[in-house]
Amino acid sequence: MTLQRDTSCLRSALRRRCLLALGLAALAPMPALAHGKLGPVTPARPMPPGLAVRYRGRRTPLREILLGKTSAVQLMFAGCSSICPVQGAMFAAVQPELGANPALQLLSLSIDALGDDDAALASWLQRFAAQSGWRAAALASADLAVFQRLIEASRDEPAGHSTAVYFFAANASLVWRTNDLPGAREVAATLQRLHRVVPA
Amino acid sequence: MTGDAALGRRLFLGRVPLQATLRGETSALPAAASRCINCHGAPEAGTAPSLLVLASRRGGPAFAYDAASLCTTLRTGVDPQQILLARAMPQFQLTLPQCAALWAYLTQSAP
Repeated sequence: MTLQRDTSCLRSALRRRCLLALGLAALAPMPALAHGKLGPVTPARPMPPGLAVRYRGRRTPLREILLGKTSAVQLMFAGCSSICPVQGAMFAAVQPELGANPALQLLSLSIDALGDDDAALASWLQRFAAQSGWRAAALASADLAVFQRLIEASRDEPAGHSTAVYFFAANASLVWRTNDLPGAREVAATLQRLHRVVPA
Repeated sequence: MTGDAALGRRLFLGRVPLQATLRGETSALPAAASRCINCHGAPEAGTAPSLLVLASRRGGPAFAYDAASLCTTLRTGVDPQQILLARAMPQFQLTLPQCAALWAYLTQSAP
């Protein structure tokens, strides 16, 4: 979501916002709505443009990775042996549910910028037989707090990070979040529904 | 049933894989994701006596485990006081010998 420079764009932006609200409302029957910070994020929270990750060896705005695709994002780190393998297995189970839709993606976002170099992230993906729609990147240490504020993560989480899944619309705005460790079917269904109802 | 503590140790460490799923899921977790040691550390012989102590767990009424109740808890994800375990704890498809082996490993006297 960016500032619009003329009135036609403003109208367009308002229309998009309205469609976004309608789209999120269409998802309302999903059970996550029963809880305070679960389900739709309203208003949608745009990804700060300066928030960067290391992706394939270079510092990359996270927004750049998210733009144009509906994304499911999990926090992890490759050296975590407790809950992260379960999270990885969950994304692995989501993959076949998504088919080969290039407009959908899974993103494993490491919170260990020092430990998770490109090789570690590649190994993480390989461990779960990740296909092309599943990417991994590492949050820069300085940006971790910014990202945690964006998702309103609690620090009282297993392995020191949230195990929820965060959904970003194709305009790189946070629009939905799940409970801890959601099931694969829930993640796949939410991703597909958000892709259908939330305009880019 | 008398358990094989050596087998229990191998199960705990993941050297013998355990079948497990997350609650509500049908797809099996990879063996590397369902090892006890991933979250529970590596107890030496007899270092899990807390299972035998009458204590409140997960905020519920106090109870102590026995071999049968630990097995049921591991299989169902619900403890003897009917309190759900955390979702991160897999539900294991354990045979009776596997249950007995884990119990023997976790509660045997230290050498």
